[in-house]
This record gives sequence, structure tokens and C-alpha cells, in this order.
Amino acid sequence: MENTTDVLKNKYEILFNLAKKSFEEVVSEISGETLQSSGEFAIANNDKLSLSIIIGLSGETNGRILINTSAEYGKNIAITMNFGDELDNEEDLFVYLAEFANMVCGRAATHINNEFGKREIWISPPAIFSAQDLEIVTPNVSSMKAFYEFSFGKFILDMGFSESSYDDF
Amino acid sequence: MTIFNLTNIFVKVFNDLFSYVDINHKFMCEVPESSLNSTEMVNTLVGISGDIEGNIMFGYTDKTAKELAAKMMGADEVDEIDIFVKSALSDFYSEFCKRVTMEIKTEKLYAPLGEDSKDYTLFSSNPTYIAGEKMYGMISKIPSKKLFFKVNGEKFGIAYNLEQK
Repeated sequence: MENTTDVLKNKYEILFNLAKKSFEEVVSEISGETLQSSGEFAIANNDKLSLSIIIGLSGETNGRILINTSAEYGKNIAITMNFGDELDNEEDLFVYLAEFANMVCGRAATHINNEFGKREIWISPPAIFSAQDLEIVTPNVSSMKAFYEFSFGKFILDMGFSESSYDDF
Repeated sequence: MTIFNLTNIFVKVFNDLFSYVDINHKFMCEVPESSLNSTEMVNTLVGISGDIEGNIMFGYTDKTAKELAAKMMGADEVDEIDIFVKSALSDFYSEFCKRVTMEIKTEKLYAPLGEDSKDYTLFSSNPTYIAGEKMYGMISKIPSKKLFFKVNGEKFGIAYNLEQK
């Protein structure tokens, strides 16, 4: 008989695989490429501006989805979504990437809720940050990562799950 | 539909929690809305979902992070922002957002006209700690509101965008 830890681990793997499937589907629709996750790599280095998209997960399962890349790679998605035209301003990069994240996470939520036959997760709108030496930490979550390298650049899909509930003061 | 009296709720919860941890604090002003914000040295993001969805972002200084964490951890002082400090800050801001959502329910902010109450489904996600140099952030595609406070003389900001689904 499976113990609670195994049950949760299996559930998280199902959730993560559905998030991966959604990311691969959406990127394929935008880029026309068939996507497969690759071996582990790092994105951040000194001469690149790091960029991260954060989407909160709540409901039956708490956590967050993080899409890590660089501003340069993120711009490739934004320009493709802008029908190949250069972006007018910096804000457009964030707006297009927010829409991209909405497509990925909205689809993930649909896949997940269909799989579980109920409202398993709720998602909050995406928030996007760019910085040098960007540090993003969500305490008390265990995360699973998938690495993707394709014509747009390098992207890391990081899904974190939390088992803890916060006590009131 | 944007809610205009949310500011009162944020200020009330801010005053309650900073009084509880016994740190000097004061609400300063509300600043014009913008969608792309330069952020503070240290930030914490909490996602809200359910009948109301959006993001709440707290921006503060390194000094405030250490002071707040020291109070939360019962320490005299904190020298560096390690995982325990980040976890303590996470607890604080999680509680902050839970109180905001409770106040929204209590004040019946989103109740339809002519109805006394509404059954809300409201969730807050795990707080995420974000730091970096020359950081820019966007928590919503439409302009978000920003409130400025002083905490022990240091700048403290809350940017939020909460919309009814």
C-alpha cells in the first residue's frame, strides 16, 4: 500500500508532466518546432539579463510555476508573437511574455483539472521580472525542472509544490 | 471591475501586522498607477486566485528584510539573508495576504449590489522572494496600484492588482 509521501510524489509528477506537455504544445504552436526536454544547463551568466515569469498555484495543490530564461531569449518569443516585427518598447516584451505564460499555464490548468475531474488548481496572473543576478526563491516548495533548448534559446520550466500550510499568528 | 477601497484594507493589515511585530511604521501615500515598475532591492510576490485574481508585490530594503526576519525568528539581529530569513519573510507575507483576503470577505467588497454577502473562493499562493540588481517587474498587464509606507525610516512599497473574474 502506498504511503502518503508516495501518493503526493506521484501526484506532483502527474502535475509536472501536464505542465511540461502544455509548455511543449504552446511553444510548438508559436515556433513550429517539436520540443523535447534536454539535459540540465544553466542560463544566467554575467553578460545576460535574466528573466523569469512567475505564476502562483493554489487550490488543492499550492506552489508556483517558474519559467526561467534571459531577456534576449524571451525577446525571441515576443517578436514571433508580434508577427516577426521588432518590439516598440521594453514594456511590449513583458506584455507578450505575460500572454505567453497565460497560454502555457491556462492550458496546464485545463489539462490538470480535466485529469483530476475537478478544480485541482487555480492559477494567478503571471508576473515577470528581469534583472542582473536575478534571485528567485520560494521557501517551503520542492521543485521539478525541465530544460529546453531550441531555436528561441534556452528555457527552464520549474514547477514547485508546497505541502505546508501557514499557521495564523 | 477595479476596487477602489482596497487601499484601506492594505493600510489596516499593514498597521496590524507591523504593530504586532513592534516595528515603527507609517503609511505615506498612494502613487500613480503604472504597469512596468522598477522594484526595490528585495521583493516578495504573492499570487491571488479564485473569484478575485491578481498579484500583490511587497518591495522593501535589505535592512527591513533583516529587521523583520529578526522579529519573526526571535533573534536580536540577522546578519545575512539566508534561507531561514527568506522562510520567515515568506510566513509574514503569507499571513499578510491571508488577512487581506479575509478583510475582502468581511467587508463584502465584491458582493453584488443589493446582496448582503457573497461566498468567495479566494486563495493566496506561496510567497516568492525576488532580488536582483537593476530589476524591473510587471505584475499585471494593466497598471497596478502602488502604496508607499515607511518602516523604521526605510521605504516600503506594496504594488497590487486585484480584479474580479
